[in-house]
Amino acid sequence: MKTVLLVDDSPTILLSLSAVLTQAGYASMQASGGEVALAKLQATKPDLVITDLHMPGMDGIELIRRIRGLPGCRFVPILMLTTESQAERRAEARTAGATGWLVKPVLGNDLLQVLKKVMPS
Amino acid sequence: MAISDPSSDSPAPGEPSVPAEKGRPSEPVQARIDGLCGAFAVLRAQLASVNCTTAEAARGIVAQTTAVQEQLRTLIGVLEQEAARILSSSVEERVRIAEEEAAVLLLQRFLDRSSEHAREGEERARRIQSAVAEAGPLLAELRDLARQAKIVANNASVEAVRKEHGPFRVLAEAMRHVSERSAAAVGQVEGAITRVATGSQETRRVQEQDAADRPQLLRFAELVAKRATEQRAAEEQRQRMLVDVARQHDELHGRVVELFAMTQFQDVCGQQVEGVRAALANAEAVIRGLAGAMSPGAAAVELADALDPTLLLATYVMASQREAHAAATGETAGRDDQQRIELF
Repeated sequence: MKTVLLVDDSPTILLSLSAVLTQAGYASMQASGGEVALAKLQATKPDLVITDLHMPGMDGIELIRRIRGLPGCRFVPILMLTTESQAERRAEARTAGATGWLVKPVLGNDLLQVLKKVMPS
Repeated sequence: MAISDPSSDSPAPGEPSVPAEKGRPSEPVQARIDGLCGAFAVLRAQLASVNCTTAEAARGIVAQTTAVQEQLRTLIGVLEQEAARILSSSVEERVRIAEEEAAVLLLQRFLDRSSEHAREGEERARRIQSAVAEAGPLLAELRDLARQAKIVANNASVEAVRKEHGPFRVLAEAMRHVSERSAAAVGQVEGAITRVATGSQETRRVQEQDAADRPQLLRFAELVAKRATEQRAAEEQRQRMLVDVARQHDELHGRVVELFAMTQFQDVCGQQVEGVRAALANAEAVIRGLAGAMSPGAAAVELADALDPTLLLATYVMASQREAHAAATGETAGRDDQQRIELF
């Protein structure tokens, strides 16, 4: 079973995305912010990371940079799930090492299709 | 969620084989419609719970930010009063400094004139003393003339006695008179010269006293000037403080504007949640009506899948976030000019 690390400061988003992933057969881990996510990544390496952009403390782009610097996480797919749609921010995330950019709201099926693309079985 | 084709004669595996009545959905489809409505009810309850939580949080944030705004406004008012007080005292201080500087200037001019007068007085005293010194030999000459006139008068008296009066007597009287008048005049002149010399010495003494006092006056003027300089420096410091206060005022004003925007953002969130709650109730009624009127067919499958509660909840929350973000940033929420899903 593939594991997805969800990083978002909204408990509702974490809850709902976790439910979608579980229903589709994925295991999920939840982190309420960048620091918590990095701590979890020290212990477990997920198959995919989905992170929000705007979070208190460390934003999503900084989190991606930090994840890319962790041993064994250089090629882990990381998706940015955010309300932002500006091209400059996308370019910034891409430079930081993001695998994809999803603008909220994303339908569950669309999300699952993206997951299949970036995590082929 | 998959639904078997209700028009087919063979039932789906595990489903009871009950023929559909005319004008009504088949029993398997009706069961799925009922399940759909039940799932929607669960969804509605979940969304209502989320709505309550979100709306409550939004109201709380609005209340907090409003309170902070009030505090900041109060602080800005205090800063403005402080700035006005500094400005007012600054104006008064500048006037006082200007007056003190003018007083110092007048004192310095007075001291300059006093020095000049002292020099002139000294010169005059020196000239008087010189004239007094020159008058000494003349007085001695006059005294000698008076003495000689007296001798002549005495000789004339002797001759008058020896010649039994006659012209010598008249001459003796005249010379005695001249001698007495000369002696008296010399005495008067000597008295006048003595008084002039005494006055001159007194004037010199006063001038010397003035000269002795002048350094103290100069010291006083220097102290006053130094104090004025210090006050001017303090005044400049106050001006810098005023500029600093104005800068802080601007920063605080900016913070208040930011807070105001945050409050609006949270308020929009709260309003949207309330709107979604109402829309949800309407949607439930529409879905129920749609489900009731739905005839067996492919559309039922799509509707059922689309109404998966978990997916709907996730989509709803994300859509709410997107709408709130768009409202706060002025962005058009529904625009599709950017690719919504992009893999790099």
